[in-house]
Amino acid sequence: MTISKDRNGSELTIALEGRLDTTTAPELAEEIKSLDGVEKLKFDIEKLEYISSAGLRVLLSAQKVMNKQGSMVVKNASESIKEIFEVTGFDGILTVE
Amino acid sequence: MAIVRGITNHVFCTVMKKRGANALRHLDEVSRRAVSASEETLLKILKDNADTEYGKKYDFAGISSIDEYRKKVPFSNYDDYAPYIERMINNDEEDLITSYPVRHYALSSGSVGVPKHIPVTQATLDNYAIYGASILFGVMDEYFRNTTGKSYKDGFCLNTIEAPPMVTENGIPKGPISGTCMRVFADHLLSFMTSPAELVFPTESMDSKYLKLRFALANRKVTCMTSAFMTSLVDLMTWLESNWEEMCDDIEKGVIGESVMISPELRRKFESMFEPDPKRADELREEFKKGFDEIVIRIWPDFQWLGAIGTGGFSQYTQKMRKYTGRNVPYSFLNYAASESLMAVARRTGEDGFVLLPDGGFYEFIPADADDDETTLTIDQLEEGKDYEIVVTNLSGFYRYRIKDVVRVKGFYNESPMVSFLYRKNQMISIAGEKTNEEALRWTIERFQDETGLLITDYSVYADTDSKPGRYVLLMEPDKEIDESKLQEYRDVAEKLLGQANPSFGQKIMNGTLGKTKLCITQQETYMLYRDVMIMKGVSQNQLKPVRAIDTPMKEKFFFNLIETETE
Repeated sequence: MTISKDRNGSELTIALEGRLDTTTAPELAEEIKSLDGVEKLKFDIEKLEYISSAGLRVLLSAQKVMNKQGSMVVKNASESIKEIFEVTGFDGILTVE
Repeated sequence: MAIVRGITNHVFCTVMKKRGANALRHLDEVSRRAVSASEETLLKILKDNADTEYGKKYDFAGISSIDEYRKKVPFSNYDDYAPYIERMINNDEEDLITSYPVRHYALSSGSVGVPKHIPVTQATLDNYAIYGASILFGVMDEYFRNTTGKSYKDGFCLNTIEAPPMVTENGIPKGPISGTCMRVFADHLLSFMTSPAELVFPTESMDSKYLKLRFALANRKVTCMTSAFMTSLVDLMTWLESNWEEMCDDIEKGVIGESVMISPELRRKFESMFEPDPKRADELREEFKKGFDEIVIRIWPDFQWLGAIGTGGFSQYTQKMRKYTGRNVPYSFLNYAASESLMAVARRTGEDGFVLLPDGGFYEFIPADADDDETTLTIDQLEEGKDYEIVVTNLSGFYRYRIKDVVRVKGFYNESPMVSFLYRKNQMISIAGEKTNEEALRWTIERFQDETGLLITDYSVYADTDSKPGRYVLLMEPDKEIDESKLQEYRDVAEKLLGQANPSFGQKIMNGTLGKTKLCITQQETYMLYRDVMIMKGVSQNQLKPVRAIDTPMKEKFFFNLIETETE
């Protein structure tokens, strides 16, 4: 999986490409450990092909942090990933655009 | 400061040991005359509540024996009390189902949608204080005196129980009952626990796993852990496995990590409680680097005991926790309780049979295999090894309440039966009358692990009635990736074992009434994700029980969309 970060002041965009699964989820968890000063966090997952339970847990932990310090949106999700968000109850927790 | 905390800790431990010894003495005494105590408890409940609306309706005043009680008062369920409870909460009405003052409403985890509000009176809270809390210290004190000749050492407790302050419309505290007893200690928590009151009674959401561990790891003198359910402790240790490096860095610097979710006010307050501690950080790093087997006793050399509900459906988690603590640390599995009643307690460490409390309520029993489910037995009529549905008359206004739990009598402690929870009746799965219960499933998974060498983190079952003929779908999450070429073999083993656990199932597979079982392997961390989502949605972690039956459309959608691989 490729993780690209683009910081603009208090806005951080993280673009994910590939598969977010048990193997790659720890990499993303590492990347989002320091969200200091981030008020708007955007995940661009247009090129994310697959997300597993472990990946979903990382998104959930990011949302927990951003609930305190700003906002988080998940953008450009494919239909299959949107469906995963829906069936796991994430659509009521995350802002999916 | 440390000296003062050491002294208050010693005082607290001494007081709790004394209270624990009193609780044991009381239980031993009352269990010796359990049959008469049980009847006395019922007659007192009826007398005290004769003038309530419910008491008048069923003529409690005219009842003078167990037989009359059975004849005059019908079985009940929550719906029978809901209109009364609504009036109690909305209009502050008293003397409807109980004459005792209601001090709390327990929110039951057993329902979906609107949670049940179970009234909890002072009498029930007193019962919890003795049998839900104090007795644990007595059991452990007794264990150490018997095995080492002296009591356990003073020290601090890593506790995961939380009780967020919530109140009903009429201002009475509500929430899970498990944390309620700790409210009386709110100002003195740090005398015994590693977590300060703000973590135990949280008023805001925060990164509680990190924070609980942050306080506990900074403290060398952690001697025990307590939790409502073993799942919380396993989740905590699993989290630590992935995050120990940052944790050690923060201990070294005496800070709370910048990415940790916590309000600025609490961060300031908590950070003022830490000093930079590079020595402790190094000690911890050295141990974490060696791996997590028996990590608990390596990072806390004085660690001595653990208390959490860990039998029945939680046994997978107990097995996992053993990896972290080692086999020699004594565990108490606490009690057999529900929001409606604390029914039985662990009298000794490691036992999965709980001593029924003859003065904690009045209990009747319906044999699980009886055709007639109207006739109940009393404790003197129970037989060892037999299974019974338990019917509860509690100290808080529920009478002959069918809680739907089936228990097995494991033996007797004096006159009191020792019971273990087997399954909840409404969680039984049955497609063609084969009635597979949670216990059969649990037995199957235990044997499955032995036969295949796999360690199953969690598991569930689903009744697939869309396929023809209907079939079982077993969902399992192994602790590591499995060899997919062995999937069919694993399915066959699980199906064979389930047929042994429930011969009716086996027979129906043989004669084709049921279709071949399907085995689904869930993605890693799926069950943990489910718990995370439920907590995010406001469910208390004290109440999150393992998902054994996929019995709602929500669970169905959740789990079946997170499958890694499956048989045909």
